[in-house]
Amino acid sequence: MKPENETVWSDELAWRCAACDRPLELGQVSVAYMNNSFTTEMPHCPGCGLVLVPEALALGKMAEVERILEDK
Amino acid sequence: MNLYESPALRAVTGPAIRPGGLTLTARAAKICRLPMGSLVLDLGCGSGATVRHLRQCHGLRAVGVDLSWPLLIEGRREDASIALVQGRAEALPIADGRIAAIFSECVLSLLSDPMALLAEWRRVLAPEGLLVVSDLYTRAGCCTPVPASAPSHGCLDGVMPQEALLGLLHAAGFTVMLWEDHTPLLKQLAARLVWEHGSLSAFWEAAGFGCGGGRSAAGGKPGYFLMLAAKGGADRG
Repeated sequence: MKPENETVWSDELAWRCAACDRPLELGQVSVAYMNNSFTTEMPHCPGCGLVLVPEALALGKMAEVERILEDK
Repeated sequence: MNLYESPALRAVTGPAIRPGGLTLTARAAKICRLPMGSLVLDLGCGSGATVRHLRQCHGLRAVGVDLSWPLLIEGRREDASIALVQGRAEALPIADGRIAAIFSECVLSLLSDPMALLAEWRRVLAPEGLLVVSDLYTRAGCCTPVPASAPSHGCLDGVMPQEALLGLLHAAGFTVMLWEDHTPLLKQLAARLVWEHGSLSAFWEAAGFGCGGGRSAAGGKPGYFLMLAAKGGADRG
């Protein structure tokens, strides 16, 4: 059985890195914005480190964090 | 359960349950320049993180008072040697004029009668005793309502503009010596809560407060401040 997180990210983990031609892996990623950093598990390329940010994440909590930090 | 006992909040803040953790406590203690061994009170001590910090890092004889029995028990389990006492902020179990400084972080805005609170703090403070307050306030020029997800009770109930707070302090017989805006610490905490829970709405739900329905904090955005005041007209420079 796959770990729960891999099941949640199953769509994203089906992608391959265009530059390295390697399948994405789930791992700890540090996201920094306006002197704040947050660590989270996200799909990324094990070769070049490029992170795939799913649309739901970008338009969801990432957008809300941006609005708070930007005082909007 | 009150907000401060909520695992949803404490998992993000750690044991010092407020924006910035111990950052402003340490800053204020440095500015106060209290003699080693001074008797100081942490009001709203929770499980005692600030009391331990003031004792270990600043050499102060710190005691704590809080209403939350579960948090006090937790603190006593961690360190039975420190004095953490159950009591109400408006009726402190402390004799008159005994305290060199009161640390009150995220307490004033929670209580409905700030004048009664300030009178009680004045009673227990020694002559020229110091008051350290960090709390929420309504930022001037911000007319955007707080998020609709904010609860109708909790941290936002007693939030006031700076002018109103300073007026209360003056009326209660305190001289304000320092006011600093630390709103970025509040934003950082809110951002971390969103990151952890997915949204502020989800955080309030997880904390057991549900959705409050678009209440505004006196018509403005909440900010965060550090204030230092002295009982009477003292000026410590």
